[in-house]
Order: sequence, then structure tokens, then C-alpha cells
Amino acid sequence: MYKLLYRIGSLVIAVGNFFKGHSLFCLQVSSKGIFSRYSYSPAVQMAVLKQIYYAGIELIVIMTITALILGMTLVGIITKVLFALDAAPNIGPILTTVIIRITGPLVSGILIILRTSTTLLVDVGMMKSNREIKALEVMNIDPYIYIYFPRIAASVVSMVVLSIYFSTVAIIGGYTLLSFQSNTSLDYVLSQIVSTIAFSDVATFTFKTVLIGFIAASIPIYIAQNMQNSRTALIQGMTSAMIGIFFTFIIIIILGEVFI
Amino acid sequence: MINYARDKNIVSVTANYMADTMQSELLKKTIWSNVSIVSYNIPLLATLSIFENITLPLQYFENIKRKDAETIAYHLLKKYNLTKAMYLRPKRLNEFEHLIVKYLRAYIRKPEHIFFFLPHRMLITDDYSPFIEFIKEVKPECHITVVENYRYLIEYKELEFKEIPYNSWQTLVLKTLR
Repeated sequence: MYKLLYRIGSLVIAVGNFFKGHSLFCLQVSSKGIFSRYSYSPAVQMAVLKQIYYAGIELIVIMTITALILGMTLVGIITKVLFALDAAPNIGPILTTVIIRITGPLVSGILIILRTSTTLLVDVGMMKSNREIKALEVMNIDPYIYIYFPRIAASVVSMVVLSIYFSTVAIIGGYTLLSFQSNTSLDYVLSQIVSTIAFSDVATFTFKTVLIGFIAASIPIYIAQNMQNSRTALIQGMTSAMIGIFFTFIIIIILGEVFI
Repeated sequence: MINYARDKNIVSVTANYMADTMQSELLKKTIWSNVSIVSYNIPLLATLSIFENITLPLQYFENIKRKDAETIAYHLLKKYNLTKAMYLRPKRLNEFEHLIVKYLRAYIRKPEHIFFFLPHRMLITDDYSPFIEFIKEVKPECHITVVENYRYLIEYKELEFKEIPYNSWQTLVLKTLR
């Protein structure tokens, strides 16, 4: 019993320390990234563009395939059921909820975490162990501005843009399948979806995409910059980062649906 | 201990440190625009090309546009026949070329003083003579201090270097502000 309590207590303290450290890290990155004049220098701008390429553009192909397949499946099934129940007028709100509110941020988030979070952890971890971050400090270049901020900003931008892209392609993919099954026009489907998008849908979408993009980059970077210089540290860091991101991801998805 | 007196504009090195410790102490107080360091354990950034590595401080601190930075890097690299390596990653260079690029990165903001820390760790044995020739060329451009093991000092006999023994490093005083 004592051992169990001891373990639970240790875990709570560890999680508390992690959130405290991570929050302070996020505050530092955000404040330095927004208010420092060096954040707008050509070097940092180029770093942001490069990171958007790695985190976003390189995911376009896989995102397109996933969106088409999922879109065809989801829209196909939903519309088929709705037509069978003679509830075709409800196609707008249901597609908005399923694709734009839930599936878009969820699938984009999973892809960003699989692709970007893992890469960032190894990237920043290797930079630290190869003393490249030390090299920046020697040049008086703040790693928070030149290394961490561009990666987090790029992750947020990529997440928002990829989610919008995913939703659009999924609807087009779904419509392609739908056009073979019935005489529904693309105009009809789009007008049904657009007319039912409410402020709460936009708010939920923005809340989820921005926060998921932020944590997908900030958690692995925070863990990597605190890592010891050893190879086992990288494996341990990867485990902690993935667990941390997974739980935060679930919390954001739930919060997005419950409070907005 | 390294002390920085803002009113007197000096950094004074007062210690009998081993080279690495001295370097880490110096790094804490380095003002990049006036004192720069070329060291075996301060690497080039692996994800940037050679020209990006060299011009990073310029692009970061002085808002130099990428195209202008390319021109500046081209002229610097031309002097050392390294223009072909301009867009390559650092891993494609040999040890001596690495040292030159590190020097150019340190020199890009025209510091008054450049430290070379233990150059023998950055070079293979055959490169030591070319390194001495290289030092001869760069010496007039700024103050150079080479921190090196005693057994390598014979290599510097042709140069008019002032030898500062370990136990009197406390006399080394660097001006850091213009």
C-alpha cells in the first residue's frame, strides 16, 4: 500500500513538474518569438519557411491519399444512410460535424504527430548532443528564437492549413463517390455544408488545430532540450514525448467538443 | 575567473585554467561582435549549407537579405577556393576546410579578436603547415590568439606570436567594446 501511494505520489509530482516546465518553456518561446526583433530577421524567416516545408508540404501527398480514401468512405456511408432514411436535408450539419469538426483535426493531428513530433525530437536532440545549440549560443543567437520558435510556428501553420486541406479533399472525394451513386450535385452538397457551418464549428476547428499544432512541436522540443547527452536518453525522450503528446491530444479533442 | 568591466570596456582573464575550462568561461562573457571563437567543439550547423553557416550571424543580427548574404559569402569563400562548396552541407568538407569555414563564420561580423582553441584537434597532421600559412594570412585582419598545447608551439616559430605561458594567463586582457 505504502509503495503504491509512493508511486502515485511520484507520478503526480513528475507530471506536475513536466507541465510546469513545459508551460514556462512555451511562455518563453512565445514571448521571445513574438516580441524579439530578431524573430523577424531573414535568418528566422528562412528557418520558418524551411520548417513549414518539412512539417507541411512534405505531408501533402500522404494527406491527399488519406483524405480521399476517408472522404469517400465517410461521405459515402453517411449519405447512403441519410438517403435510405429519407433524411437528405440533414447532410449539411452531419458532414460539417463529422468531417470539419472531428475527422479533419483528428487525422491531421495524428499525421503531424507521427511525422513532425518524432522528427523534431530527434532533430533537436541531435543538435543538442552535437553541440550545435552551444554553437548558436556562442554566436549570441538565442536558440529559443532561431531553433524552437520557427519549429513551433511552422507546426501550428501546417496543422491549420493541412486540416483545411484535409476537409476540402475529403468532401471532394466523398462527392466523387456520391456522384456515381445518386444525382446529387457538388453545388448542393457544398451549399448544404457551408450554410450549416456555425461560429462554434469554426471556433472548435481553430481551437483544436492551433493547440494540437502547438503541442505537437512544443512537447518534443521541450523534452529534447532537457535530454542528457546519451543515446538511451533519446529513446526515453521519445517515449515520454509520445505519451505526453497522446494525453494532451486527447484532452484537447475532448475540451474542443465539451466547452465550445 | 573571467571578469567583464563595462565601464572600462575590458574583459580580463584571470586564471590557470585548462584550455577547455578557459574556453567555457570565455564563452559566458563573449560579445560576439568583438570576440569570436574557432574551436574544435563548436561545430558548424549540419542542416545549413556552408554559405548559410557563414552568414547566419549577419542574417540574424544585421537583417542582411539572403541574396546579399550569398554575395558576401561568395567573395569570402573565393579567397580560399571554396566557392564550389558554397551550397554543400558541412559533412562534405575535409577537416581543414571545416576550420576555414568556422573561421569565416567567426570573422563575418569583423570582430577585434579571434581565438583558435586547440587547432590540432580540428586538423590532421598534414594540415598543420597549411594552417600556419592560413594564420599568416588572417593575422593582419584582426588580433589572433591561438590556444594550443605546448608540443605544437614549435609549428609557430615562423610567426611573430607572443607566447603566453599557462601560469601567466591572468595577464591576458581583451578589449571587447569598440
